[in-house]
Amino acid sequence: MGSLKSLFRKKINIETQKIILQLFVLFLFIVMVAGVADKKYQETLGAVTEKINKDIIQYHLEIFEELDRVFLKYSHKNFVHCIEQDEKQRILFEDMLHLVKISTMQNLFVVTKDRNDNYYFLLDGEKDPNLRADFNEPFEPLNDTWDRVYKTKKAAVFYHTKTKKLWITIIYPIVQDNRTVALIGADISHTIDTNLHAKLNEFEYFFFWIVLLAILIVIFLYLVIIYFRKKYNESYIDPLTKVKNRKYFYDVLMKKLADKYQLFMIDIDYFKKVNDDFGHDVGDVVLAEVAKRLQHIIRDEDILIRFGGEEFLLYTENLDEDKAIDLAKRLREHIKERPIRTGNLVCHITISIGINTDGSRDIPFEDVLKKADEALYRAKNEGRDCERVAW
Amino acid sequence: MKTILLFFIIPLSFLFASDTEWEALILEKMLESVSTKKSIVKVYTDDKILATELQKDKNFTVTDKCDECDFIVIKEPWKINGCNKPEIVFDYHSYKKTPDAIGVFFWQKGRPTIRFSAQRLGRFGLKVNGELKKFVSQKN
Repeated sequence: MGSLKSLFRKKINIETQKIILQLFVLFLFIVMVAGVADKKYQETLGAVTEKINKDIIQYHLEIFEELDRVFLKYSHKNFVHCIEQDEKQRILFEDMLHLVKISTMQNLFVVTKDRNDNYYFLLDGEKDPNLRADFNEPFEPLNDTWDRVYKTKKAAVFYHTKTKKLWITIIYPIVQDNRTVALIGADISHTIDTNLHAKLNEFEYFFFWIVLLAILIVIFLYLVIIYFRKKYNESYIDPLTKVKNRKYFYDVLMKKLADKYQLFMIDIDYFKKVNDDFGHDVGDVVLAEVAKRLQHIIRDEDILIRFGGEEFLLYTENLDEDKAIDLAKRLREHIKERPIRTGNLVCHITISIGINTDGSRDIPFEDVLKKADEALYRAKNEGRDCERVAW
Repeated sequence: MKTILLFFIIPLSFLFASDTEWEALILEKMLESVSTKKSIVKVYTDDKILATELQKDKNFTVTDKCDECDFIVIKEPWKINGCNKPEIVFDYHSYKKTPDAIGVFFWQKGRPTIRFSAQRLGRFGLKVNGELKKFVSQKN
């Protein structure tokens, strides 16, 4: 597990991990907002649809109430018998149904039930011979609501869930001598539902693109921010050693000095000789390797800066003199314990360190830096490959 | 109960078949429910999808001679004459006009409808068995 973690750290640096985490949080945020918006939308849609449906149903029930009154009046309160016996009356009633069958109705018909509980058509408001049901043609009720209306004598409305060919059916009982003799059935036209949903789909389509566009803009802006932040950070990185540069020192570090801090001035011993003997390419390799080894020893919160040429500045906080000297020793040991190899060349490199542990916000930074530099000068003069603390 | 049956048969058919195929499956179910003592039932049909479905079932064989069959399942009953075999038709008008039509499957007002005529079944000495018994009508 530990090796996996270190591998992960090697492969993906901390900055990338941060970006991934931020993107993940952003994604979660977008999903959450979209979820809440969708829930709200569905609730509103449900409420609006229910309201529309209620209005439609109420409107149709008023029509059926009137039809019922007319049927009973013209059949002299003997509705079924009248239809069965008098074809002219049946045609007249069907014409009435046809007249009131408005565009919202897919089917409008009257059915009755025989002793064996089989339903039959009595009347059909449809005029198209290919679509109309004949007198006495069997009718399949599809659910027991029809029986319930027969028994309770109360109108009922139900949504079809088992067939896609029907949407809402309204059943209205024709009651004669306190007994249900027939049922007016109306299937509300699917086109209302279809049109409504077509309009809603258009809106949903629009809404989808708006959300998608918003997400893309947010992601784009985020990537732009990352890009500029990267560029901004790169401007403070020394391209050779990959540690902070002098610009960072003046722009950033000077502004965020702690109340108490320590400065380490680090210089590569005899670096000029390395350059002169082996060339600047080797010098560059040495610089990069020294920076790398120094980075390896220091803590995450410590800041290593390439101050110029072969000079590095290490900024630390919360170190007393003993700990600072201990750190300097470890830095030196780590640099010199293995020679730096490039091609066939082997360079034995040492460093000298000047330490100032008295850094404070109350003291001008230039003074703190100067003292660290003086300590380095002493280390150089006293034989190199050593550390000296500022007086 | 009839409704439950109808919608039990139809969704089951939906699971396995296309729109036209499941109608064929319902017709096959109707044929199965009409009792015959023969182990293999010979069917004459002008419905190619039904014919294909029936050929998959070892209890049925499809014949192209209507006078040799046990049942006729036909969309255009007026095209056959003198076969004198029990028929299952696809629309209510044909059912009414065809004296040999013992049963019908059709759609009316968006509702699937199955009917068997008790009187015509009796004339051919047939009975409806099982779950489709409820669709037998004395009236028409």
